[in-house]
Amino acid sequence: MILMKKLPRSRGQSLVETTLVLPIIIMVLLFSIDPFLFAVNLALGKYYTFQAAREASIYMADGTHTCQQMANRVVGAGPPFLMVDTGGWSMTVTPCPNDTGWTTPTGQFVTATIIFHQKRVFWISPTGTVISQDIFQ
Amino acid sequence: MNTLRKVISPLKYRRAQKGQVLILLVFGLIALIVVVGFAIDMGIWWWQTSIAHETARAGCVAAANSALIGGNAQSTFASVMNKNGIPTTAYSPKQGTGLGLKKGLELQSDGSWRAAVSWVEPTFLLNLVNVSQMPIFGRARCLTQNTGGSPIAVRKTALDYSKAHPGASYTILGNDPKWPLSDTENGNNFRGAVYLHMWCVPSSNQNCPGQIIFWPLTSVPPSSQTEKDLALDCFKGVNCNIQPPIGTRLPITNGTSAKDLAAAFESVHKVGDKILVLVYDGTVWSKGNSKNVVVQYYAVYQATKFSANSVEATLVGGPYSSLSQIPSNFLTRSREISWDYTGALP
Repeated sequence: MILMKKLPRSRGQSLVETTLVLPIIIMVLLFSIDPFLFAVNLALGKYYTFQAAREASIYMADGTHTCQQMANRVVGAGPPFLMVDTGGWSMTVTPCPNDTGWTTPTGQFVTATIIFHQKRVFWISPTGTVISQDIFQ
Repeated sequence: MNTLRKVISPLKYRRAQKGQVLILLVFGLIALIVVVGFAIDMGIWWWQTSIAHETARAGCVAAANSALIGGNAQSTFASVMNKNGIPTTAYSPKQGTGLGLKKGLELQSDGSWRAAVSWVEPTFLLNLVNVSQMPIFGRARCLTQNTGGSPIAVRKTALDYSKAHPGASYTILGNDPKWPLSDTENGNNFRGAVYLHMWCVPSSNQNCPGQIIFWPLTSVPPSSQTEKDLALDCFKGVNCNIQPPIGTRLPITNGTSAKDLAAAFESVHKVGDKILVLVYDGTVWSKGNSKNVVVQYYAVYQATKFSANSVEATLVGGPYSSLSQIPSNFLTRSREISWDYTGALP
């Protein structure tokens, strides 16, 4: 009994080791959240810019809808950006004005650009810019 | 002795246990990094594949449309690729053919186009297991058939005639003494063509006191040369993405001869092409600034016969009172179809 009492105590060893390693694991997970969300948002942005450029490229003036309206509706119809406020992103499609009297110049390029500001979850608050180009039909 | 053994054995056991959790957690950490790394590699693969696919779609349609209007499909395809950051090696030189096309743009025997891009992307963590690259591939197939809108207005009574005589072929553009293009011409010689680039406002006013104009028309009235050029462009599908809604009052083209109009149409169409036309009530209003007609419906005709001064066609769809009623294969121009579609092309 006396010897037992004098032995070095190993109780709590697991706790110590867990305490050493667990923060690293948690840090890896936490540091990967913002880049992961950023990658998803980049992919969404690319999809939206392709779709917006396509909508603009086939836009037909009908006296009611504008090119800009037609291009913008593809973003409104899809899933929202992650950790990006409603006003935290903007899309420009040029040339594609908000003018019912405008019609498309066949053969010229139309460029759709999305810029979004992602809010920070843990690490970074990145700004993404995605561009796609198509040709007016 | 026994007592000592009893004391030492647990001690050895405990020593053996030292660092075990640490080792497990390190292994766990490695596993976690592998999972995260694999997810990153798969994310990159998914992301790049979507870029390849979307760019192939854009390039295919743009190239097909370029070919339709007399441009160079290959250079259009290349410029779309370059503008979207796709390296030249991803689409040139051409690899494979038909269903097996791996790179490049190819015109198929049925008139459709196939486009494919492929490249390899370096891996992030799969490198650890000796996989340093992952293949990225995207493809699309599209059609060039011109079935878009046209600046042709057909009288409603002609559609009624077609309903009573299915398959009847008659003149819809140009000049045909046997087949009047309007019921009431008010002294004008209506040749079946209207301006899509110029709308009368207000549309309720038969005198057409004002006009909305669309680019590239910059002033009214246009010269006869501009008139002819615009009509030709519209038949070709160039700078003519204008679809007047029902009720729009459109000036007629009266500075271009029937011969020029027919020649313009025939230069870009072939017998069998489907054409979306406007339908008016048969009256050409001739008061005020411009002779004009009012759009009542849309209809789809199929070209049946070309001659020096006229174009004949037969009704295949309509009348439609809105664009949404028109079957999609009548409305679209260059568009995508599935990669392995083997049926008759629409």
